[in-house]
Amino acid sequence: MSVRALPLLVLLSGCGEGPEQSLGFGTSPLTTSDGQTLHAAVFTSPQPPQRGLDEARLTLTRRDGQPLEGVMLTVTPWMPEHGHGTSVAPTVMANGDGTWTVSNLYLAMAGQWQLRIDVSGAVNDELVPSFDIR
Amino acid sequence: MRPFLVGCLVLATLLLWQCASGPTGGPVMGAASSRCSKADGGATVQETSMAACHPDGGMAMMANYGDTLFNQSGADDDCKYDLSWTSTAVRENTDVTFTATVRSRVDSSVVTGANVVAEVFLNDKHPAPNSDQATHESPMGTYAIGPVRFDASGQWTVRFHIFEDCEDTLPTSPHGHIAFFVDVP
Repeated sequence: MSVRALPLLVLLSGCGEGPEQSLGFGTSPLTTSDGQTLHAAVFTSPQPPQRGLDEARLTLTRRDGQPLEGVMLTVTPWMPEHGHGTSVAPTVMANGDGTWTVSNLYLAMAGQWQLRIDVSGAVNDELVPSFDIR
Repeated sequence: MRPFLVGCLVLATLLLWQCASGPTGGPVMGAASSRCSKADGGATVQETSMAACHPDGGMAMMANYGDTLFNQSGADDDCKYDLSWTSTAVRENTDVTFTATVRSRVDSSVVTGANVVAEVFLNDKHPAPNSDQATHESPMGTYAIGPVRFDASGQWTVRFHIFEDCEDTLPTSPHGHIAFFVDVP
């Protein structure tokens, strides 16, 4: 590289953004929940989740062992002791293998949180796994 | 070669200056809130009690967040506290510390031990990135909250949560919240 390109490189480098965190999901569930028909296991990244921005992976299975197909999920973070959730809507993405990734999970405060999972479609169910953030 | 190196030095200096002293944002100025003012000129005041922090039983009320406020002071959503704030220089991708002072609306005394935390977001799809935010109270009733990092320009919302570790089951719960707009250039 030409030494004359150095100033451009310096300009393009921006104003010092911090390093990205490298985080992985837990290998065993952080928490589980049973609905009338379904069982949910929740894994988070990081695990245990931290105050702030987290990511979750949900594994849903039928309690009768049948495969689960054709369902839609909405996930609402909620603090039952405070009567409020979070000001940021999480993004829920189906992975196609019975798992869903919940990103943009902004849990701004310490305390007890619930993930209110509404399942609709081929199966209608509601699951409410809960966990603490310290 | 020497003029070229001098040019590089000047460019690097300019870049550093731009990073450290670019335009700053801060509060968004606008009409003062009147959420706790009565039509007859009186004021709404909600008393609080630490006995209502962790009551036996009961279910949390559905919190109704009030409007996000302009300026740097106002009453919280439930008229329990008056909160005013300042901050270090607000710039994109720079650590910002907010300093909030909380006073009771009953007697204007400073509120201690309130563990104020900030929920920070640009919109309902864009929260502030993790920044290991912590809260330090000094002097009593004044809370330094940070670092907060704004990773985009725009009009952000900073919602302060007061006594965030208290349940919000009873109207007299110390738990409270108040949000302000913050401009990030």
